[in-house]
Amino acid sequence: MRRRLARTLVITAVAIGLLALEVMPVDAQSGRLVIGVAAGPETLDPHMSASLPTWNVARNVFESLLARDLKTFGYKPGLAESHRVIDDTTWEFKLRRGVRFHNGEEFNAEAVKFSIERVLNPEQKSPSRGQNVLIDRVDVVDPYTIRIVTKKPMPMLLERFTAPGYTGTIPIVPPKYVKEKGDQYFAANPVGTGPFRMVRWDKAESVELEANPSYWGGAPRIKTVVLKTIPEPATRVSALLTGEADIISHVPPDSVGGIKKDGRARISETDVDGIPPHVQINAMKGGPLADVRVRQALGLAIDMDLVVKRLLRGHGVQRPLPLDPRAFGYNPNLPLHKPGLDRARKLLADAGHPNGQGIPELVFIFPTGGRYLMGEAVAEYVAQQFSRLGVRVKLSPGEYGAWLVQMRDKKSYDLGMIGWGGGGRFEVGDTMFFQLHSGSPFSWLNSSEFDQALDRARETMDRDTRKQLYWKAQEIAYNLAALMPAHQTNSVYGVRSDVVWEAPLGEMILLYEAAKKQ
Amino acid sequence: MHASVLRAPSETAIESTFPRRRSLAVRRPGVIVSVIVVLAVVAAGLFAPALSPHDPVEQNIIDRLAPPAVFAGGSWEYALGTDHLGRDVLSRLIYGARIALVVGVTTVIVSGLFGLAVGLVGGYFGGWADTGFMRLLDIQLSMPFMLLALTIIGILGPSLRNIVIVLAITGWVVYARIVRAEILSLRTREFVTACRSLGGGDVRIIVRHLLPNVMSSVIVVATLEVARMMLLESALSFLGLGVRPPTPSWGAMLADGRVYLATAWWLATFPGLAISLTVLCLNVLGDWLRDSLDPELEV
Amino acid sequence: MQTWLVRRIGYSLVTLLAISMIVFSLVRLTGDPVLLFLPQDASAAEIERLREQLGFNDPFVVQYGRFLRSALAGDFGFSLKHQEPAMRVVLARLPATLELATASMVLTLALALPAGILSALKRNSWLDRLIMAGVVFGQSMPSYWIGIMLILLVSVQWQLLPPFGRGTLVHIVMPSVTLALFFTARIARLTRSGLINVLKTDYVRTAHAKGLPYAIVVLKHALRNAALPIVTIIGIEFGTLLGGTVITETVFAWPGLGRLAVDAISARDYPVVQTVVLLISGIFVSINLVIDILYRWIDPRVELT
Repeated sequence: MRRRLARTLVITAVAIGLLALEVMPVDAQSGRLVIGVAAGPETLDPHMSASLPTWNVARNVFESLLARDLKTFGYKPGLAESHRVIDDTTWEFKLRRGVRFHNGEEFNAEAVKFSIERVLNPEQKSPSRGQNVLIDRVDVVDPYTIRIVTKKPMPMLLERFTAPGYTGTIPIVPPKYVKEKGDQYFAANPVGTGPFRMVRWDKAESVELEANPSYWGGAPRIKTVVLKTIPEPATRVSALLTGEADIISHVPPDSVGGIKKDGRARISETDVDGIPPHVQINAMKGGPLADVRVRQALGLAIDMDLVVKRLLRGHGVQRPLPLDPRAFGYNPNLPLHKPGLDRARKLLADAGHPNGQGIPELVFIFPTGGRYLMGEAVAEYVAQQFSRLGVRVKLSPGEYGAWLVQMRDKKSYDLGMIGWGGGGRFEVGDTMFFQLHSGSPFSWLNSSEFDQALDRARETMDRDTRKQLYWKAQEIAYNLAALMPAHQTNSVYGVRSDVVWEAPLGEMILLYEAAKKQ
Repeated sequence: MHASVLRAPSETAIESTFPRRRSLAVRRPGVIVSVIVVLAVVAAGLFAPALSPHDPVEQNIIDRLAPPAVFAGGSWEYALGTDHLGRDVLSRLIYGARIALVVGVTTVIVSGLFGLAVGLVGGYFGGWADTGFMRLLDIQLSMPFMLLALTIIGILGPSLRNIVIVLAITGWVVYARIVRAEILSLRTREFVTACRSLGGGDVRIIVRHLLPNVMSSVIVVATLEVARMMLLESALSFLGLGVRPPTPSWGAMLADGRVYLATAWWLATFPGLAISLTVLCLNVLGDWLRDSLDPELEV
Repeated sequence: MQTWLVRRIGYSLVTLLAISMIVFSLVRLTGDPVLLFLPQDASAAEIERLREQLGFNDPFVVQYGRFLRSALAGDFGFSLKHQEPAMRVVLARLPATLELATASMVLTLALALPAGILSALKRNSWLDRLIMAGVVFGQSMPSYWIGIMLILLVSVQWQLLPPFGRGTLVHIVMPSVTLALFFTARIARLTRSGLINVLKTDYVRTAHAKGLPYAIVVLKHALRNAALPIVTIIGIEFGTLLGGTVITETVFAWPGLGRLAVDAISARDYPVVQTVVLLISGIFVSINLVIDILYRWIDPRVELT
């Protein structure tokens, strides 16, 4: 009996000892940053993804010919030291020498040619292909000079080769490595030229990166970065407060106050560049929603000002269209929507649907998990407002990955919440193509008037004319009311007090400048 | 067959010859309280439209996240506060009772009837029907319930009807086992053989003699199962696989309130209390029923 | 014994087969997994072509046969979300769930057995009532609520334990406590009732009358006899535990099978869903088989029809 007692005591003592050890602060290990993100990547191949989680890794691992100056929005040299326009359809780039991919392979003109051709290859089925179809071919003049020839004038070509990238841009990948290892291997073990290189990808759990000591721009300040997938917003916030995560993304607006009050972390916030989350009405499906009056009526039922002020707690901005005012070609003359249920009811009646009669139940799909700030709440709000008009809505939340797939089947829903935030769409032509051009797989509008206006704009090399044409296109889009009155949610990050990092722009997580205070 | 269906050998030694039926004497105060609570929940569910001060799905964004009445910033208009969309928590709680009740009662009735039938037929007639059902039972018991439920709902899509279907499918097993075991032990008794020798048909025996004896166990099990079904439904709703928004279910309210634990504690606390209290009282009731009617019963 | 053993094992196999059929049909009833294979702008013709290629247009029996054949060879399908064979994904997460289940079981036994024994010994005393009241409480609270409350208090407020994830010994404390609460209640009750019944039997009373100290009587005789059904229940509860970790894993972001399954269902990653259910069912069937064999070996008198 005594022996058993002694044994129990020893075990208890050891357990307590272990406990004490673990409770000591985790980041005694300096140079390691854990970032809690809302969703994990489904692939790490930058040519094959349209999702933010993939791009957040790609932005630190890959680069392109040019780089974006995040303060002025202008271009800086990247993998190309200089460029010039030879004629309306020919561009020449002089490449940087002495750059190597993470696996030692040399960076040169072949790599650029390979990367562009890979994206353009219809067999590759890259989601970035649609934005680049105007590129005809790539000529290698010498190992460090290339020429890109386009079929028609393509004023936005430089955008396609600017890092940090997003869907539609072309990061440079190592040709030998990709050809040797194959696409599937590359998708799990990416190799680029960027400041960080891949260590390990624990599918659906985390991505681990480490600093590239021989990065041509100088090694980054932080040694290890882990992008940890924490899909639940509440858990993310807990992670931040307890130190399990140093930075978290997509902080729910209602938790901001709590984090600010807590001394251990702070909030870093920017507004979302590019295409913030908004609700699209499916005008392609036919039926009542094809009538612009019905769409306008639905839009009038939404009080975006209220949504931004109350639901988003001010962490957002109201806009006439989901575009970034800093982007080139933004039309500042469009008025903000003023809600009005009575006007909405009248419009519906005029369109032949008094009190919502004849309008079937609308299916509304949106992703869960806090990927879009207050997404579920906004969806419920929208549904409630529509019901006031007599229009029924069926809410259909879905997990991020599955929802991304479901979006493709345009026959299966009527309303969708989507955003393409993050990735700097610095010219409205890009954005609007994605959202509204009938040639884009994500567009729900099929208007030849709009298509033509936008196409003309995108092919005009002269900036001022292009701007005017963009304004016109925006006006058309505004009047067609395919997008609900838009709100622009901010990108809200939580950052621990001992971390040096600010949200650079929109939803990009760029880690080159990040550091930990000692 | 599974050892789980057996009782321990030592227990068979003391097995009672005839399930004694003690009088339903109410001696414990806990039971009385439980009855009251359960009745209150039932009343809330039945009379929800009359009892609830607001429409449970009506949003009022301006008043969102208001605290309960006695706290600073609260008002008696929203006695238990409002949620993140400005909906009245009290009203949602009351309507939530309705969902809990519907789920609990419907599931139990459906699964209970099926399980009872299977147990009766299998236990009495034996043979291939019995073997068949028991095999099915075994197979179902070998599959992890939660995962099964998730898969089915993942396929059918979340909705109240589908939850009831899923829970009923997984719930019949308990009744079948208990009823069958009882029938097995009862059918060899003298009164049954006597009845048969007097010319009584099988159906008559089952309905008039066996069924009443089994009912007490079934009632005990049913009570406890209502509690278990409520817990399961709330768990499914918590995972987002339950009723669709904006329908108020206690489990879904808890899930919504999770983000606001530090800032708006009332969102998660009241639904949590509601679930726990209701389930607790149902369990107490079930236990007491078991002690009164059929103490040897192993659930 | 020999024939019984063969029959019993055969029975387990048939059960597994039936389960696989059920799971397979359930999963096939869903919609279109093909959409996941293709990039965004695939045409309807391409989708149809791929469907034909992957065999989704074949009759059900053929598809099932194909599935069975590959399963026997170890191939349970390919997970699109993880870009790996489904079995590999599942096996990678199995240790985490086993860990959690074991820790919970240990905790449960450490709490439930003494509680049950004490209750049985001091039957109807205030201690008994207290313990039983606590037990009913534990059974009544939703496990996710307990988990959330624990995180709020222990992690965020008091900063004692990490709120989620798996890594060190401490990480397992809260999840296993949460999971254990429910099962403690059941096992405590069963222990109590089992022991009470054993204590009533004649030979225990005789041993006591012979002058042996009560404690020894309990420990040596009564427990030994009540042990068998308790062990049975423990085995079965472990299986249930394995299948029931879903909620706890979700709340605590524990990287185990439950969470994997939930994610897979949401992401329509059906090969993984299938494999998880089959694996857990397989484990459960095996546990039952072992228990039945043990039972039969220890006490051949027991009639297992």
